[in-house]
Formats: sequence, C-alpha cells, structure tokens
Amino acid sequence: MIAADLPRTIQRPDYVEGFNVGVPKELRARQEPRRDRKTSFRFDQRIIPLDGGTVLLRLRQSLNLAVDPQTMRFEVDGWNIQLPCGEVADLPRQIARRFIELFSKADARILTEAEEQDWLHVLDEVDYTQFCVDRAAPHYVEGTLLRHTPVCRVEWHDGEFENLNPQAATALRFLEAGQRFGAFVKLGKANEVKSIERVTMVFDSPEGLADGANG
Amino acid sequence: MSDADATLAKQSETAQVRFRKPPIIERVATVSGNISPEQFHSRMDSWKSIVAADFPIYDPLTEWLLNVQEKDGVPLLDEAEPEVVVTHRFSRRNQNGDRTWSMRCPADRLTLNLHSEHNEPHNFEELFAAMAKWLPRWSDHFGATAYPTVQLDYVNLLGPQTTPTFVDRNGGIQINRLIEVFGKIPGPHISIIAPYDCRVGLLIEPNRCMVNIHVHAVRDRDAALHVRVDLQVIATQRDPLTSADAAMGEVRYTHDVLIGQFLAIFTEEAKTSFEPL
Repeated sequence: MIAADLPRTIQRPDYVEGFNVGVPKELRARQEPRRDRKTSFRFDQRIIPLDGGTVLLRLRQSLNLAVDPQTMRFEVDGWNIQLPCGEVADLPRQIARRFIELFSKADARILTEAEEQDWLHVLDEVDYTQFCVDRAAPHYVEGTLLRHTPVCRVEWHDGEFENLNPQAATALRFLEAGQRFGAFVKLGKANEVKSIERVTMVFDSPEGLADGANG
Repeated sequence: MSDADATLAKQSETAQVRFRKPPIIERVATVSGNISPEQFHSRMDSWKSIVAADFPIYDPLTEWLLNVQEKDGVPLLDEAEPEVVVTHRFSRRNQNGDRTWSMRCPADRLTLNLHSEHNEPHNFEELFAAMAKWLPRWSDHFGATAYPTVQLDYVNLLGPQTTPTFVDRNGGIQINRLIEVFGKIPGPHISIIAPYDCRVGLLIEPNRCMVNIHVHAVRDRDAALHVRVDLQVIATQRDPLTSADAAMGEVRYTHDVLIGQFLAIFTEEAKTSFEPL
C-alpha cells in the first residue's frame, strides 16, 4: 500500500503533461534566489534559416540570453532583441528579422549610429562570407562535359577544369561526354560549383560553322 | 531453437495480447537518424507545411536547463552555462481539447506520441501505422542516412481513473496487488511513504536492446495520488540501419520486447482488471 499523503511536487516538462513529479529531497534550495541578478542561458540553435531555408545564417557561437527574473524577459547579447521568456521559441525568426533589417539598412546606408554598432557586433557573430555566398544569385556559365565517371569533370569556357560534387553533377546526368552546355551555377566560398540548374545544350550556329569554315 | 530465438518467439506471441482497459496513458515511438544540422534547419520550414494537415497545431516545447552535477554526494551547479532548448512539436487535439497525437522533431530524431483518451485507449498498431507513414517522409525530406537507435516508451498510470479497484477510500494505492516488483516490500510496515521512486535497467540482448523500468509516485492537478510505471525499450545497432523499412522492423521488435515486460511486471490480478480481449 502506498499512503495517499505522498511527496512534495513541482511541475516538470515530461512526456506526460498535467502530472507532477516528486522532488528528490537533496535538491532543496536554502534561500530564495536574488532577484536583481540576471541569469545567462545559452541558446542551442546556431543555424538560422532565411528565405524559407534556402539561405542559412550561421552563428559563430551560441547566442547568450540574459534573463531578468523580475520581468521574466530576456535580452539577446549584442542583438538588441528583448522577448518574454515564454516566446523564446520565436527567437530564430526574430534573429532572422533583425539580421535582414540591419543588412537592408546597411545596404541602403541608412543605419543610425546605434544600429551601426549593432551591425558591427552582428558581423562579428555570424559567418557573413558564407551568408553572401549562399545568398548570391546563380550566374550563367558555359562549359563542356568531359566525363561522368569516376568523377564528373567539366571544362569551363575560360579553360578551367573542375571535378563536380555528386549533387551538382546530377544536373548534367542527361548529357553525353563532349557536349557543350550552358547553365546557371551557384558557387561556394572557394569559387567551387555548389549547384547547377537550368541546363541547356549549346550548339554552334550554322553561320558560326560557316564562318569557322571560311576562317 | 536457441535461447534468443525462443525469447523472441515468446515475445512475438505475447505481443498479440491486448486489453480493453490497459493503464497505458501514452505510447511514444522514437527513431533517430543521421541528419546534418544544415539540412535539418534549412528544411524545417517546409516540413511544417507538410505535417500541417495531420498535425495542425504547432506548439514548440521549451526547456530551460540548469546543469547540476554531483560530486562526492554534493549537488553542484555545472560549469557549463545553463541552456535553453526548443523542440519543434506538432500536435492535434480531440473535440474535448485534449492532445491526442503529437510529433516532435529534435535535430536528429522523429518522435510520435499517442495519448490515450477517456473512452479510447488506442493501441500500438495505430502508433506503428503513423510511424510507417511519417518515417519515410521525414527521412526523405531531411535526408537521413542511417538510423542508429529506435526507442519505444509506454507510460502507465495506476490510480483512481485507471485502476479504481486498487485504490482505497483514503486515496492510497494497493501497489503490491498491481505490480510484481517495487510493490511488495518485505518487513513489517503500515504503508509505503515518500520517497517512492524505483528504477531498474535490464539487458535484453547484448549490443542490441535494453529496457528501463521506472516506477514512481506522482500527483495530478487535483493532488490525487497515482503511480506511474514507465517502460522504455531502447534498440541500438552496432552498424546503424540504413533504411526506414529496417527501422520500422526495429519499432516492431521494441514493441515485442515491451509487451513481454508489461506482462511480467503487472500481477495476474491487475491484468484481469485490464480486461484481456
């Protein structure tokens, strides 16, 4: 038999909501926590999706949230964002919004002095180069497919050779070796091809052939 | 037939046992998958729209975690900074507003929770069918390449609502009549009092499967006493599974193991009260 007058309880997030769990007795607080001291929490998400996830904002380190126990609001260090603790799940959206706001104002050269300080801090906190690379629109290039296997290899119009990553190579799967093509490509940080889209075949025009024959 | 085969055959047989009024209030199936953080975060927004028809409510879970470590029996705040973790959760509710199904998507796993309702205890096959529907979609969408762990949790609640014949007029629970372990305490006593919190781990198959059993007292919002019996089966693979189909096979296996433990831990009297079908 278990007696009905069992343990002291606290709320705890668990699989089952609405039921309390007994507190281990060794975790008693000796006194009330000080109310004038902010507690810092680390926010574990360091990748923030932008543009529906097509662009990612990578934070160099976790965000630091300073919780004010008197107001139960937190402030994100260096981002000038304040939210109620209950809305912390909205933080990635707020970070995305703040970043794009500062980015847009910086681009239009209309940052206030305070915003400029925030923007400089934010630039230290994020991988801005990667952001610019991810965000850049694909541009048109031409090249020739040299081979599919063992690694897909192309020669670009400027004479450079490149082995494509398997994901990018799938866009050229329908081409035969030796085929000239045009496509829109996105480049990575080291100027390597990240993705290929809108592939077309490129043929010499009859006039071009005639010109070439005459030349 | 080897001992292991005999055990599995027995588990398969016992997995067919069903009850009209089991004390199960929640069934939780989890499959972990290898997914890169970039893939996960870049595809979460589109995942929200994919699941919206079946799980129309988006209510993320937030946990503010203080890290405590024990040193020589003394609980100390860990040097690691406290952390806040947000888990994506999608759910749907019944006409009474109670959550019946939910899906949780941490960065590396898919979890489905099936909650029992007042007149509808639900069953494992419903959970299995839902996982069979969503695991391949989740896997394709996020690009999971391997499935290292499968886990099944059953939360059983013993108390006034689920096992009223074992509750006395003062609200005490005759736990020794309900479960085979942690209830029959030797030595003269009037009743069990706080603390009541018992755990045990069982090795089922080396490098393959273990079970955690946790029996503890809880109170509901009206302060009524209950005893929770949590059964957890964790199946891992030395070489992670590489297909969603294989992972579903492991979900079935964890259920076979769990039902074997369920039948073993509850007394015959308790099982009779659950009304076998």
